[in-house]
Amino acid sequence: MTAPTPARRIDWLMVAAVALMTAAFVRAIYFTPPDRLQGMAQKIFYVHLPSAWVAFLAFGLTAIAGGVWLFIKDPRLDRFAESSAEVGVIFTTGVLISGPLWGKPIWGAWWVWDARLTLTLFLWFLYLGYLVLRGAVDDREARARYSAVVGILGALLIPFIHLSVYLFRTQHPTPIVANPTGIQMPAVMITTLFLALGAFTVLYMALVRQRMALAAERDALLDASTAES
Amino acid sequence: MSRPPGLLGAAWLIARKDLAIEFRSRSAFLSALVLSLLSLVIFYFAWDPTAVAAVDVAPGILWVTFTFSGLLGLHRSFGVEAQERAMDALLVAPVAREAIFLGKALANFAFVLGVQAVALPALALFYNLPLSVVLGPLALAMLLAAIGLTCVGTLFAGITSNTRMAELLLPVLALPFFVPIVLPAAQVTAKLLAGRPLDESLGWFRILLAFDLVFLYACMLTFPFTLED
Amino acid sequence: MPENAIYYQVAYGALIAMFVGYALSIRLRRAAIARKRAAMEQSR
Repeated sequence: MTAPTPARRIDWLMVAAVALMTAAFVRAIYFTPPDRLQGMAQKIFYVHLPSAWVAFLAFGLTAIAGGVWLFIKDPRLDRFAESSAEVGVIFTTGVLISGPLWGKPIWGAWWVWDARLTLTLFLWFLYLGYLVLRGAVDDREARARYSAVVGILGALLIPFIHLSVYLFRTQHPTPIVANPTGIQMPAVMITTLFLALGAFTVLYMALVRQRMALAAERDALLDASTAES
Repeated sequence: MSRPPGLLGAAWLIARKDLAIEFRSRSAFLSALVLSLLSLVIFYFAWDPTAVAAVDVAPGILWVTFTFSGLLGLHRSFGVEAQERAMDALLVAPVAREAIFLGKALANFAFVLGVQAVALPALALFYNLPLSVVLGPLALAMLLAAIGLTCVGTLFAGITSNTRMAELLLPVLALPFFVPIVLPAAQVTAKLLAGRPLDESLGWFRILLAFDLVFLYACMLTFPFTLED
Repeated sequence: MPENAIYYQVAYGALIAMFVGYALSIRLRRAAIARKRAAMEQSR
């Protein structure tokens, strides 16, 4: 019998995540010079790219965890897949919010079907389908099985979406005024970017762990209440 | 005593069974057909011929209609077994579970092609399109697209048939997967109708072919996991 | 340099609000489960 987790213990991983995020934001706002051509709006890059990194990482991990679950059936793997998907959709939403906010001042329009943003839009739809599917299946084992299959197929789909959008873009190019991710970034900007990448990754880990705790407690409650009846 | 059928033999038997059941009532096929034709009509009235040429608007109409009439047909492919728990009988039979998938996919494939065999001439008729010149490559695109749609659609139909809100869940899950099918197909159709040389469409055909190969295999391999042990 | 600071400010604010909101939602859901757990254990 598992006892419920005491609510008063400090989540040090979350504390670290918050500290790193604060450091990254402070550094981006006050200690990193703005881009001369793009202006202050360029600073969106420091949250946009890390969000995208986590968004895709989270989906990959969800797919892998599901795949492994199919063979060893450990419920923790399924709870991880569930948590990584929910946290992942949050970060994906972040990409879809920061993307247009960056695109409007730089490209002049909120949405231009940019290859990477379009791919992220599809990732968002995949996440949503995955989460809606999980919500529609009550049996824990069936839910885990279906989710694992959908996760794997979704991960397989990503390169095809990328290819299709890429080919579409090369045949129907839109004129883009400036290239926002110039490779020749000065060192101070690169450092800020890496700090942000680290901070977002730690935040992902902290949120997933919290979400997994929620899943474990929910499952324990369900087990206990069915044991009663 | 006769040997149990091999993979393809079993698939063929299952496909024949499904198609025979469908042929008896024909209701799903007729519904999909009517949906297809009505869509073509509705799109016609939503179109301003003085603003956009028929060859520009037809590809989108054709492939949107293909997608949604395809979804209609997919629904019924697992509903067939719902009566009298016939699925259990199928699972106990000495057929590989991959064969069940192949058989149902084959039946869906025939269904989709059947609808398209009527929809395509109807499109040519309603929009006054010179399809006969491009019929060869167009038929190839249609074939490849139908393979992709039925592979992914059959798998997801199997999953969603066991969930709440199956009618809503199937499109939500499947539509992102239809994009790398419908996008290349529509682009090919547009190029063909515009009289572009065939080698401009090669990239799109390659994506279609790659998608079909990858997902036929992947869906067949993951289908057994969607069934109870 | 163009005057477009508002964009990054809105983006930063929106993302922070989203993360905080999500973390809070986890906390609230866990609290709800703990309440149900306690209620169940009391009624035993």
